[in-house]
Formats: sequence, structure tokens, C-alpha cells
Amino acid sequence: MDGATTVPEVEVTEREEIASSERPLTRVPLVLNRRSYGWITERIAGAVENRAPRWWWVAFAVTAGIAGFGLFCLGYQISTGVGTWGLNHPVGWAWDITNFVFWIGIGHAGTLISAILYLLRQKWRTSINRSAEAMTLFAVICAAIFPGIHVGRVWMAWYLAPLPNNYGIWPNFRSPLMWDVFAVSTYFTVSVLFWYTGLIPDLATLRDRATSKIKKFLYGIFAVGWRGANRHWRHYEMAYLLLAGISTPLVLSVHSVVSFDFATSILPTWHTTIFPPYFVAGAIFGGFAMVLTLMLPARALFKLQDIITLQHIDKMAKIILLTGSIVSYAYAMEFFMAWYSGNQYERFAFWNRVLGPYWWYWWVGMLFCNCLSPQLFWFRWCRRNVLVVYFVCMCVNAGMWFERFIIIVGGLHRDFLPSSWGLFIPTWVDIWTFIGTHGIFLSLFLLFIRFLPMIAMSEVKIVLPESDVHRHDPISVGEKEHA
Amino acid sequence: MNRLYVVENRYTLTGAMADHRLRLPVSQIPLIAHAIATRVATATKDAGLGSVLATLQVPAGAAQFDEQWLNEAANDLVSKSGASLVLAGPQQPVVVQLLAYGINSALKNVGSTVLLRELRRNPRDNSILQLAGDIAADRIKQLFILGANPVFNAPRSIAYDSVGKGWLDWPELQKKVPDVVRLGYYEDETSALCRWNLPASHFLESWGDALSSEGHYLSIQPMILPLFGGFSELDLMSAVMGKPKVDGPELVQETFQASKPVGDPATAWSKFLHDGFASHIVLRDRPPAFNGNTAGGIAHNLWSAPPPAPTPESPEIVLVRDYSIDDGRYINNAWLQEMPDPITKLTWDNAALISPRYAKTLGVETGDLIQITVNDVIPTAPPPVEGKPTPTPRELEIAVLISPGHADNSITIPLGYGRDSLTSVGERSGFNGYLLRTASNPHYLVADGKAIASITVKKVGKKYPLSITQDHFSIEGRGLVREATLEHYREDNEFVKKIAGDDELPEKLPSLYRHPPLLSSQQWGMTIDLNTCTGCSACVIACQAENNVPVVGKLQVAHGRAMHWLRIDRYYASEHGYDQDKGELPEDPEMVHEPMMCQHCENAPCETVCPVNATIHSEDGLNIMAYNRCVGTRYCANNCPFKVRRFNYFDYNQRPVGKKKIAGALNLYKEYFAPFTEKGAPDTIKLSKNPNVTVRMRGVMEKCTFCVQRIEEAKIAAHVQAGTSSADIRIPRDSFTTACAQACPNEAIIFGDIRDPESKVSKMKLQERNYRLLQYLNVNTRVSYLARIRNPNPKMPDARKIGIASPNEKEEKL
Repeated sequence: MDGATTVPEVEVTEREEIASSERPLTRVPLVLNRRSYGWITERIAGAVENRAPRWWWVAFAVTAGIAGFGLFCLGYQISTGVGTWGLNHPVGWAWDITNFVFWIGIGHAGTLISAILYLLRQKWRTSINRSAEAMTLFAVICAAIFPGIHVGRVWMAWYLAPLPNNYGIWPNFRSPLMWDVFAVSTYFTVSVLFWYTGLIPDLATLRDRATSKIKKFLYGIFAVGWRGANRHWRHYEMAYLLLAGISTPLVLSVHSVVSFDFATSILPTWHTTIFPPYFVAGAIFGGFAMVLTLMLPARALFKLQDIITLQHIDKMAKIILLTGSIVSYAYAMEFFMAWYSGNQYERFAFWNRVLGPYWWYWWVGMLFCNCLSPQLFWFRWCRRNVLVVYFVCMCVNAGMWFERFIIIVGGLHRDFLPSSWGLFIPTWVDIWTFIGTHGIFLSLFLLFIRFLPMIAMSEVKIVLPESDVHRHDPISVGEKEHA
Repeated sequence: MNRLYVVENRYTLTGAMADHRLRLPVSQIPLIAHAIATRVATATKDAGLGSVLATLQVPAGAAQFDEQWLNEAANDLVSKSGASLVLAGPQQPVVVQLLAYGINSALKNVGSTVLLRELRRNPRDNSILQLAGDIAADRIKQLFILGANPVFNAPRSIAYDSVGKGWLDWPELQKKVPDVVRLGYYEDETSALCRWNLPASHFLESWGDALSSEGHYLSIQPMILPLFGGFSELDLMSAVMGKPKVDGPELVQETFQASKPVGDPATAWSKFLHDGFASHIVLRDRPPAFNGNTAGGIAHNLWSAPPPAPTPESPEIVLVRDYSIDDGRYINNAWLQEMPDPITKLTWDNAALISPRYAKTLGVETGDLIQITVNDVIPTAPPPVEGKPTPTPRELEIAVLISPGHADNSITIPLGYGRDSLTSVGERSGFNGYLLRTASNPHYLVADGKAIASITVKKVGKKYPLSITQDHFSIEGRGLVREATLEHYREDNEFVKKIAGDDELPEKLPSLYRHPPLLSSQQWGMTIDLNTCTGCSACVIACQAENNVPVVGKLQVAHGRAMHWLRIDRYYASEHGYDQDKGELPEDPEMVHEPMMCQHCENAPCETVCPVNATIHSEDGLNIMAYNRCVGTRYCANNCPFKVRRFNYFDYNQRPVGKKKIAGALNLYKEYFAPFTEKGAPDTIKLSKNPNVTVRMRGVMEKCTFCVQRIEEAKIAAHVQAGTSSADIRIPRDSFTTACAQACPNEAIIFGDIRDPESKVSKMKLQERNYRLLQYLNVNTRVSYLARIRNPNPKMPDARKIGIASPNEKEEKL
């Protein structure tokens, strides 16, 4: 069977691509239009090597400005006191920990894509894993800001480290905050290693293509002498596999540990055994939404539609649908358990979630954004319509932030003693610190796409038909198997 | 058990303790006194009371009261003849005082529950009105003002100036006196209009003497040498009499010796100082006597038929002393300013208290400003003048605070606030109720057509920020305050244990964590008897003083950052549930108080979550804080079910926190510019700190320690006395206590060793009324509460609304 006849030589339009994918049991190519190795290298490395487009400078100026102001807010808060935020008694945590959980959650998609999908041999991951991992790192950086600065005495935060000292005082290993410190720092370390390991072959490509000496030197340093030798590849792939294996449990553990901050406490709505899976699902949910939020514009701006295809978007939308449904189930289960427990404090807390002062956070954030909006992805048309996907992703981004806010502030502001009930109202410092972390996140991402290949060139090349030594056309392979 | 009936217009602490409470506009109280007196007179057939009543006419259209309430209350009184007591508030007119006395006399209470004692009064005491008249007539050349602040609080329109033909307020009068000498603590309204100001020494820095309200002769001894020099009143009076200034107690000794103490003068003086009062001066009570005819004559002359009940269009204004700053004299005391009002929980301000229903009529909410205008009747006296001057209407713009349990169409304004001239703590706080006050209507104003033509209240349309520490009024059926009627308690001694959730608990709940054993021979615990706690808040201030608890200022209180380690929760229990989220408030609820501080849980949820081990358990059962280990994650406060942990959001002790704006009209508060403002506190503030207690910095958590410094002090004293540091040395039983327990006037708070079965606290904990909060959480608190018992009269129409703070047994099984 000659596969060549089924794939036209001319450039395929998106319509035709859909048409071909509708054929039963054919495998749609991961890179469209039979792009060559050279085309991929040019397109991806080109984004780094060409002069920065004007939009990049504008975008970077804006995000860096926001990041700068966010850093000013951090400095102001540290120098003046936590009182510059809107916290009070009884709401001791609000936007700070909400933002922490929000960013940590976003940081989950990267490792899921790079580690779990790698182990599961999901080859479509190759076009998105690099930027998803970068996003993970930047999100974890943003997340790590908050536990660091939310404490009253930042300059004493090293007490959380288990350092031997002459008082013989150790951190309290029963405290989930302590577990957080270990979980997040482990996760960040492993994520950096994983990301960097994956970068090495591409860094070597950039080194080889570099035109200036400085670039050649710097890329050369980080490429650690990669020459593409057989031995290099063998070690590389083994290291990558091991790191994937190490990272996989972390995907589940980090957000489980984060959820312990709440689950091990005694507050109604916090003290819940459902939290670890609920939080992990929510993290993947929010993380994929953020990956798409970043990738959809990048894909259009750098004309990467052949590498990040509608098929990729479709698959990510399915994951969003799945995790969104898990999250919705968890929400429903929380209400059921509150009722079933017969505990008046629990029951009240959940009524208060729906009808209390923060009612619209629940109706808009949790119900509409998190539960209802992903349901659009039951429809193929929606999964493949970039605008619909973008809309849903923005809903999920906002909804997941609201969810964490509802859990944290909703649990704190009306707990056991009605005499102590209160409200949380954010100050400008709260708001700008959060917006500032978006500035940091986007600035780092813009720097990343300027200086590093945003798509793993070497890995994408591996999924090309040419990489198959038998040179089977992917579609013909599928048909042959069917036959 | 006694039974207390209270008739009042606003909730007071007495009203909160009452078994039956009737809310009624103040202007109607003479009528209800008359109504009760009539019933008592009929029942007792007392001639004296009868003859007083015979002289008093009740107008035909007067307000009607709940007949059953009155009859049953009067029957109850009569049935307790000789063991009952009727008290009239000090602001009530003389006729009401006479009626109260007449009732007591008719009930044979005089001599048993009422003692009559004649107190020595200076026969040359004069009213400020007479002084004002003398000044207006230019008869005063030199005026000494000792401590008082008449420019601020003298009645309005106090004198008539026949030359200028107008009514004068005190400031204009004072300006007419050529030479005014003022002895005072502060620069204030009065000092600004004085030629001479003398700094007064505080009573804690000077010698003095006084008469108590019971007539005892008391000594006043200095606790400290004067910090800033200054004169006491005695010093000044003695100087006026031309005597040299003395530093010691000579002047007081002179007076004391003049009272002819028995025995050796030096010993008698020492005893006087030691006892604090002169025991040799015998107080003689007068025999009971009530002359109905004389009283009737007086009453008849003074009785003016009470005005008709106030209406929404023409409300009454009631001027009362403030619970924290009294008549305004303590306005510069930041502790008192920040002390939540025991009833309203308002800090740093006063407000016009009104009932929820009246608020609805006016269309206002808490924090809305209203304008009160009082128009006087054009006066005819003093001497007729041509072209009678119209007095200017008295006006006041004041914020509203809706207070459940307040009488309708009545507005209560605590006095002493609204002092623009102060530059210290009291600056810009509250509204000046004295602006409405005249000598003829010192306590309440009502449009009676005699002195006051009309009172109008209208909404201004602006808001005023009020800092209130407790926003939620309902106890939500949570069994936090448990109470029962005496009847219910007698039927079921164990009622405190029958609260939803608690009654299903096993004897011993398991714990996930292993705890260090509580090995110490003494284990500290506390009980709080809700039956005797009146909510007076003395403990709040005692705790603040003892433990260097910082003052945070009005803005920070509004942000919910008050630092009090001990607060008093106040709930309104209502027969029918109410949802504040929907704007529902109870009109006539019962009020309960509950002091709340760290409960020193044995399974403390705060301890397990602290990542740095800054809050841990001591061997003697205290939940302790290591301030210098705390990094301030606030996790402990979040996980505290009682929300008693307090976080230093700013450097309250190092940087001036307050209402000061540093950039004109902009709302910029100094604490928000910490790096650029001066560090440190004035010496006087530093002197107020307890040297045995750490002053905390910003970013650390703090909370009640059970006055650990007192425990340690007592422990050290015990060790010193025993001459050994052995751990077996026990502090003598009940030999010391915490600051709150020490300050409590009713011994509602008992602290001590719960391992010692003979200690007071152990005995309290054995009472049937003893219960612990949130026991279902297995926190095992060391503080326990004793349930409240109310004693309603079952025949009263409101009996079913009494003693209802505990969750309803039907509701609890939801």
C-alpha cells in the first residue's frame, strides 16, 4: 500500500486535516504538512535567533513594568508589615495563600506533560512539553514568593529550615507548612533538572547555529559539550527516563501536601479527606488551562500551527474536561459530606459558601467557571475552536483562583464562634502583589521564548515520519494495521 | 435565687443581667413607676404611698403598658415584702425617686434591704447655674477650676445675659471672668480659655483623702513620685489659703487627726493607711421614716404629667455616661477608648443608639449620619425683656448604631466624645452629645411643649466609619453560651451536657498525636461563671495592662485587628431566629456575655500546625508562646477554633499607631509608612509596660498566657521560701491569680490548680453547670464555663423569652 497517495503533496488546509482525521483508524500526523527537520529547526530556532519582533518588546515592557511594581509591593509589605494586606482576625490567610496554591497548581501541568505523558508514551507531548515545563518553573517561582513573604518576620523564615543550632530547636515536623517547604522545594529542584536535561540537545543546536561569539560561548556552556553522539543520546535518554520516573510521584505528592495545609486543620470546609485527589485534579485542570493560555497566542505569533496542531489542543481540552469533571464531582461530594456528617458547623459552612457574603465567588468562580464552562469540551467543535478553547481556559484560570479563595477565606471568615466572624477586603497591596506575580510569570515566559527554544526541537523531530528508520508513512502504518 | 426586673430604654449591663426586662422610652418611666406604685399601694394598703399617689394625676391619653407584665411584677414584689428592693436610676426625676422610696417603704424594705445614711456634704456647695448667673452679672472676678472641664460639658444656654440680651453658653461666660485659674491633667477646651493653667498631679502621685459613696473616710496614697511635678487639689487649696506647699502627707494627717482617732496618733495613722479607711468613724444609719404627706406635697409640686410616648417624628434623646470614658474625662486613655463598649462593642467613638425598628423608620443603617435638631420653646424667664430672643436650635450630627433591645423612638447618646480641641488620643473621636444638653434637661430631651418645642431627626445621607469588634449577633444555635431557667435547671441538673454534638461524645476521644505528658505537680485551669459575669469588661483592661497588650487605633480595629487577649463575646438570643445577612435583627432579644480567651487546649490545634515550634505545651498545662521563635505564619490563629490568637500586623509598640493623618486630607495613616516614620514610644507609654512581660514586635503571634509571669513569680517565691529549687515545691493553694480574675468584681473568673481537688477552681469545675466549649473537636480545653441560670417569673408574659441562649432541643437534632 502506498501511503503517498493518501497524503497530497500540496499544503494541507485545516479543513482537509480534519477530513483526514475523520477517517476511521488512521493516525493523524503530529506534525502537519510533512515538515522537514530543517523546517522545524529554522522555525523554532529562528524565533530565538531573529530580531525580536516589536510586539515582544511592547509585551515585555508591560509585563516587566507590572513585575517591577509587584516587587515594589513586596518590598513595601516586608518593610512595613503584613498589615498592609487586608488580613485580620479571623482571616489570617487570604490572597497570599490563595495565590500560592493557585500558582503551585498551575505548575502541575508541566510535570504531568513531561513525566507522566512521557512514561505513557504519549508522543503528542513533544510539541508542548518544553514550554509547559518552563511555565511550571515560573509558576513555582511565583508560588514560592508567597509562603516566603506572607510570614510576619521574613528575616526569620530560615527557622523553617532544619538547621542544627545551639538551642536544639528543630522545626515542627507535624506541621503541614513544614511538609510544604520540603514538597515545593523538591518539586522545584526536580523540575529544573528535568527541564534542563531536556534542553541540552537543543542548546547544542543553538550553539552550533550561533552567529556571535558570546552566544556561542553561553549556549556552549549550557550545552555541556553535547555532540549528538550515540553515547550521548543513550545517557540522555536514560537520564530523562529516570527523571520522568522521579517526577511522576511528585505530580501527585506536591499538591496533596499543599492540600494537607487545609485537610489536617480542624476548620469546617478545610478538614476534609477528599482534599488530596481533589487538589491534584484541580491543579492539573488549572495547569492545562494555563498551558493553553500561553501556547495559543505563541502558536499564532510564531506561526507554529504545524507543530502545535488542533490535535494537540483537542487532547488538552479533553484533559481539561476530565479533570474539570473530577473537580466538579469533588465539589458535589463536599456538599454531600457536609450534609451527611450531620455536623452543624460543616453544614453551615457550606451553606455559607453558597449563600454567604462570598456567594458570587462560588456561583461565578466554582460553578460557572470550573464546573460548567469545561462541559463545552464534550463537543468536538468546541475543542477545536481556538476562541472557544481560549474562553474556557480563561474561565478555568479565574475559576481555580476563586476556588482557592473560597476554600481559604470561606473557611476562615466564619468558623466556630459567631462572635469572631469577619470579612476579608483586599487592599491595593494585595491586588498589586498578585498582579505583580503575573508580571513576573509573563516576563519570565517572554524571556524564555526569546532565549530558549520554546519547543523541544530534538523531540519533535523524533516523532516525524523520517525518524522512523523504516520510513513508514504514519497514515499508511495505521491503515496497514487496520488491514 | 433572686429575680431582677429592669425597665430601661437601652440595653445596659444591668438589663443584660435581668430576668425580666421591659424596654421603654425614658420619658415614660415616671408613668410605669406610678403604675407599679399604684399596684403596690393597692396590695399593701400602705397609707404613705397611697397619699403620694393621690397627689399625682396621670393624664388621660398616657401610654398604656402591658397590664399582665405590670400586675405580675407588682405581685412578685408584694409577695417578697421585706426582701425586695426597688431602685430608681440616678438620672430619674425626684418624683420617681420618691415613688421608689414609697414602694420600698410600703414593702417594708426600708431597714432591711434599704439603709438610710446621711452623708456629709459641704453646706456651701452651689449649683453651676448659680455660678453662671453670678458671672453673667459680673459678680465673679477670679475663678478657680479644679479639674473640671466646663467649657466642654457645662449645660448649654446656661445663663441669660440681660445686657447683650441673649442666652450664653459657658465659654462666653468664662471669657467674662477676668482671672481664671485651672488645675487640670490636660490641655483641653477649658484650659484654652484660662489665663492660668496649673498641671495637676495624678491621684496616684499625690496625697489625698476622700469620702466614699457609703460615707467612709478614705486615704489616698501616692504610688509614685510625681512624674512631671504638678499640684494636687489639696496643694492648690492650701496655697490659696496662703499656706506653704508641702510634699508629704501633712495636710491629710491634719484632717485625719481632726477626726479624733483613738489611741496613739502615729499608730492610728499607720492603721488608716493600711486599711485604706478610717475605721473609728462610725457610720450611723437613720431609722426608716416615710412621711407620705410631706412626700406627697413634694411630689405634687414636681410632678409634671409625663409627655405622650415619643413617636418616630418626635423621638426622645437620652444622654448617658459612656461605659468606657465616663463623662469624657477618660477620653485620652487609649485603653479605654479601645475597650469595646460592653453592649455595642463599639470602640473609639460614641454613636446614637436606636432600635432596629426605629432605624427602619428613619431609613438608616449602622454608620449612617443623622442630624438631630432640638428647638426650644421661647423662654419667658428670666426677667421679661423686650423682643424675646429666640434661642438658636441645638443641633448635632451623629452616626447611628442599631442596638437590638433598644426602646423604639428613643435615641441614646453616650456623652464625652466629639472633642475637636484635643490633640492626643481623644482627637477626632465621636460626637459631642453635650451640644444638646441644657440645665433643665440634663438626662433626656423630649418635646414636652414646656422647655422643648420639637425634636427632629433626619438622615444626612453620609456615612461615618464605626469600628465595632463584633458584627455578628446570633449564637447560631451552637451551644457556646449555655443557659437555662431555674425551673429547667431544677428538673434537669445535667442540662449543660445535653447539647447537640456534645451528648453523643464518648468519654475519652482518641488523639492522633502523642503529647508530652503533663507531669508538673500543679496544673493550671480556669472557670468562668456566666451566671455572675456581667460583661463589665474590667477583665479586658486588666489583661491589657498586665500583659502589655498594644492599642492599635480606630482604623486597625475597623480592619479587625484589635489585640485584646481577652475579649467578651456578646450575643443576642432571640425567640425567633434571625439572619443578619438578610438584614434581620431582633427587636427585643436577651443578651448574654461570654468572656473568651485562650482556652489552653490540652490537644491544642495551634500547636500541631506551627512549623517552627513557636507554640508548645508546658508541663503544667499551659499553651505557651515563644515570641522570639515565632515567624508569623498565622497558621495557629487560623486553626484556633476560638479565634483568640492575635497577630501583630504592624509594629504597634514601636511606631505610633493611630488616627493621625500625615498628609492633610488624604487618609494616610502613620503605620502605613513605617520605614519613614519615627521609631519608639514616649517614656510615659514605656512606663506603662509591665516589666515582667515581653513587649512583642511586629510579625509575631500572641495570646493569653494565663499570666504565666504571675505563675512563675509565685513559683519562684515558693522556691525561695522553701530554700530549694526542687520541682516538688508547690505554690500555696489559691495564693495568686491571673489579672482578669483579680479584676473581676464578681469573682466570675476563677483560676488555679486543677490537680488540687481542694482548690477553688477544682470545686467550681465539679459543679453541674460546668461545661467546655467545642468538646466535639477533642481539644480538651483547660478553661471551662459555668452555665447561666435565669430566674424568670413563669406568670410573666415574657417568661418564654428568657433563658433561651442554649440551642433549642428540637432544633438541635436537625
